Amino acid sequence: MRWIFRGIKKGILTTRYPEEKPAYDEVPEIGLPVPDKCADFASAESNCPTGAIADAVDAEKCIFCGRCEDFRFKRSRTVELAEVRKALPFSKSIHVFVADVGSCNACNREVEMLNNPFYDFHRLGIFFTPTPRHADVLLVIGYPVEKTVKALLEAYDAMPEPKVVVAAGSCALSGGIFGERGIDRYIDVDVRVPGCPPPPIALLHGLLKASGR
Amino acid sequence: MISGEVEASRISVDELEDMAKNRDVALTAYFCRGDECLYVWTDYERGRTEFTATKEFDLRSRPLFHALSGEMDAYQLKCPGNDVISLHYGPLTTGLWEAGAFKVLTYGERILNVTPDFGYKRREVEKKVVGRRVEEAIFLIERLCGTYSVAYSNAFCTALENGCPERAEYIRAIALELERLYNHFHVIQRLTAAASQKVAISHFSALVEEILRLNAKLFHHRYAFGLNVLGGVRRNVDVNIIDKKLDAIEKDFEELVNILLSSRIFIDRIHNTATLSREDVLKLDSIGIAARGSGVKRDVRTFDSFYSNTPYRIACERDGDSLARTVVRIREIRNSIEIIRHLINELPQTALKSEVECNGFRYGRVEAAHGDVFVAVEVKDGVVKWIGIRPASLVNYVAFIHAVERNVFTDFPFAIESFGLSFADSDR
Ligand code: SF4
Ligand code: SF4
Repeated sequence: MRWIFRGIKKGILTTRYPEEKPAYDEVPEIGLPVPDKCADFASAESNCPTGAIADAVDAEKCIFCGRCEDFRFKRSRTVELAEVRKALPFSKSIHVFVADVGSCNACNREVEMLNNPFYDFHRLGIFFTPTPRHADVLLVIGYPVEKTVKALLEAYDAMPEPKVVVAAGSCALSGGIFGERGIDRYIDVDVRVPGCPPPPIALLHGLLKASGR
Repeated sequence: MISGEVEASRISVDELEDMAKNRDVALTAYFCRGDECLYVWTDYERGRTEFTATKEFDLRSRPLFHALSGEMDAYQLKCPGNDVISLHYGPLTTGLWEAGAFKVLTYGERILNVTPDFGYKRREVEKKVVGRRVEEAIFLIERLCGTYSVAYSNAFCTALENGCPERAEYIRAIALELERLYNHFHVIQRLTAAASQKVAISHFSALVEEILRLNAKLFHHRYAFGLNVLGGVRRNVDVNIIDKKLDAIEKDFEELVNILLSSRIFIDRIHNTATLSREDVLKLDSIGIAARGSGVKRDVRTFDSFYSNTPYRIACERDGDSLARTVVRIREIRNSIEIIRHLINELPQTALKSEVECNGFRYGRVEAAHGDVFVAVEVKDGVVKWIGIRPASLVNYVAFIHAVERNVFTDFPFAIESFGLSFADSDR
């Protein structure tokens, strides 16, 4: 009972996203780096640990390390970077099975944070499920370790149709700092959510896209 | 934030065996370098880190050796008898959010033996670090375990530096204590989740989120990736932001802890669960929260000269159960808040970064939220030649395996969460 009173006292913390743009508190300068007018492209390019910088910054390769800031790149507040190829045909509620195939645990933590009262993703009809048999969305995080990818493919096969695959984080998308291979070497990815790790708002954006919203 | 040169004394195998008999000196790490074996020892009381080199030799008299050399199966129960069910649990459905598996032996109700099965997250971090320039290697080290990233990058950087500007040292410590805070909050959140205290879960996860948001504002990254660079830190901090947030967090936390500790349902679940005795800690060379929960004062901050100028006090409990470990965490949360306050009040005005020349074979160690992490690294002209990392989770998994034996199945989540272990950390 005392918990509940406390809850009432504390008031509403929940983000107004997606009805409104994310507030500064939710997303300060943690987004994709953008070059300044006088940015030193050549040095940034040769110093970027993942080769994410060419004419622009490749969001899928970027590991958000901040090194290019030494060469006059600035961190933007843009985290809603998800790209979608295929979405689910319905949108009221989706069930997500989270599959970690070799993450550093930060991606896992961000996914887990969707549950907290600041994001409260249940209000958007998004739920986690502990079994792939009830899942519409397979959320893949981490650098693909062969041994775990096998289990991932089994989980994918167990999912009923229709289903979509969301890959989140630079590890899953491009291998990030760990290597050259992303998860799409093993499975077709429908929604791509960049970040290292993608903050909860970015994940929400991706999951909403996956449900066609 | 302890560092120094790795100077190993060459000893014979017999001398090594003799050394292993002294349980007051903890076995910290074991690495194979060529045809030589490097053993690392810590005397936590005197604050000494020692290195011994022998020819290739397996130190089987210390149970921790098996984990350090990657033979987790050595902890499995041999010939458990009839009627015993053995199962393999994982890697995607352990309910721990992480890719990891357990080998379980049970009669049905009680756990006979649980051994983690590693390999599902093996990204081969150490192998990938070798040959890289130090500046880049930091990014890999941070991503060995993202939720303890500040501790790892700190250990790696301090290993290679001969000190860094004072302000940078302070900022690093602030980031480290913030990391401790969110991890401790997170462990309590997981414990309340295991007890299905739905409202408490959301209150504690809100505290985690508050710290992550604070990190985001201060360091442009929610987990402070990219903050520690060789020779100092990448970013300055805005003291006012911390000051305001910290007061609110402290107030919330005290209120919550009050309610939590008066909840019989919750306390009953963690009281007498997964008990580790003082003798076990000494036998298994456990560290960090696991040791301090059982009355063994092991914390590298106690012999870190930086912390002697802060209000740091070691937190120690005697009972060795999940409750004791939780109480240690609660006391550390209070202490960390105190330390951060002190650090922002005294923040010196110096440069943020200094030039570092990287050469030599050195080590660094830092007390992370779950235990101390150890990094030894050999660098030539700014390129990593060899690296050995001893994560804290790996050591405390051995403590967990021992502590969870004979507990009933429903205690499993309370046992594992109270140690704060991570697969990414040990299965690197
Ligand atoms: S933040 Fe790091 S990975 Fe991303 S573009 Fe800049 S240097 Fe490259
Ligand atoms: S994308 Fe970044 S945060 Fe996510 S698992 Fe990979 S290294 Fe960790």
